[in-house]
Amino acid sequence: MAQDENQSAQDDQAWFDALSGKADSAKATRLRNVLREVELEEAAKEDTTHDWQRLQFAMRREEGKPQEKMDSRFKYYALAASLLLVVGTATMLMQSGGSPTLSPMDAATVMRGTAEQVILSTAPAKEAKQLESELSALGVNVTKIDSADKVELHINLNYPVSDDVRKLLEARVIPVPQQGDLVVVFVNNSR
Amino acid sequence: MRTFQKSFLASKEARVSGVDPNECLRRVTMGGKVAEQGMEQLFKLYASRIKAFFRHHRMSDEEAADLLQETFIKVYRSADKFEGNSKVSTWIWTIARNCMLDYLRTKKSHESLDELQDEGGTVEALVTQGHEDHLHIQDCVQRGFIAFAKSFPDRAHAMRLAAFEGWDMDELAGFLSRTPAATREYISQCRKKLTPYLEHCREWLEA
Repeated sequence: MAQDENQSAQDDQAWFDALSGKADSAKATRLRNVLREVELEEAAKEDTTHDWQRLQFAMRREEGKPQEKMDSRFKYYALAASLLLVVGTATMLMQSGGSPTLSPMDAATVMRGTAEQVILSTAPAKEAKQLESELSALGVNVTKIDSADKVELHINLNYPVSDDVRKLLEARVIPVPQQGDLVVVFVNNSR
Repeated sequence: MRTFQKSFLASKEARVSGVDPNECLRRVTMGGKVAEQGMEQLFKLYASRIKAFFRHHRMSDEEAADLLQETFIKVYRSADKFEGNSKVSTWIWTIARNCMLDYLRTKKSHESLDELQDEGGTVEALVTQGHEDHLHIQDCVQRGFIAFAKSFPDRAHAMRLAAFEGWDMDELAGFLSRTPAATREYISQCRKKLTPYLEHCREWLEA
């Protein structure tokens, strides 16, 4: 009985091996050829042109998603670039010796005729108050807006800008705009 | 050892189609235009057959198209997770089958795959349907197998894939999500169930 079962299992295995092309058996090979033919004939009936176009669209949408489908090499490049940026920024901050750090004017935001200058400071309120009083002493109208981490000075410049005002601003490396008001934002960077 | 196995499997698949699916999959992991080219090759190799597979399991045109999309999006998303322990064909077909099973579980909970497998119908009626006279013997086998496929679509497809992809028992077990022992029994049953459908062609098959 057990011998029959064993024989049957061997026959099944041999049949399957021949079916999948791993062993020779004329009978199973003929069947195999028919199965392959059936597979190809049925596949040929399917039109997948539209399916491919749809998939292309879906892939491009996937490609557009952040954090997905990024080649591992590019991940390393991106990481290296980020590290360089962090190290570079830290070096610049250290070289400034902890004094107020100024954003360059060409990077300043200019909107609706107003130039904005950001100054990183460990004592924003104190520095803002100092600048406000010095500008006011020169007859410049200044509005101060305090908030938790920053102090904004909205400076209403009169054109042409007087030499005294120009010197005062340039002493703090604040470029004088060509026109419009100037907003100087003192941001707390002590944390 | 693993590298050898991977390259062996890859070269074997490449010989079958002229395209190396492993290389296609590697391209897919690169992203951008190269990935799209890799996907296009894989799509050409498998899409039509996968779509036919869904139809065989009574999926409508729309369902088959949606499942095909789902399958290839999963291939695209998880290409970098393919470790090369199996053939690419086994991996892709398993994804396709799982997509269909998930769909059946959620959308057609009233039907199970087992129900889809056994439609019944008498062997005589199905095999002799529409051709009484002189059939070419190859047609005889083809008709017999198509009749078998109507009654046992899942078994018929497993056999077709084994024949077409050259899968061994373990690869088929992976595709079917069965243990090797259960797969051996499955194969044995396939053989037994197929026999009456090919009875008419016995002489030709044994010649």
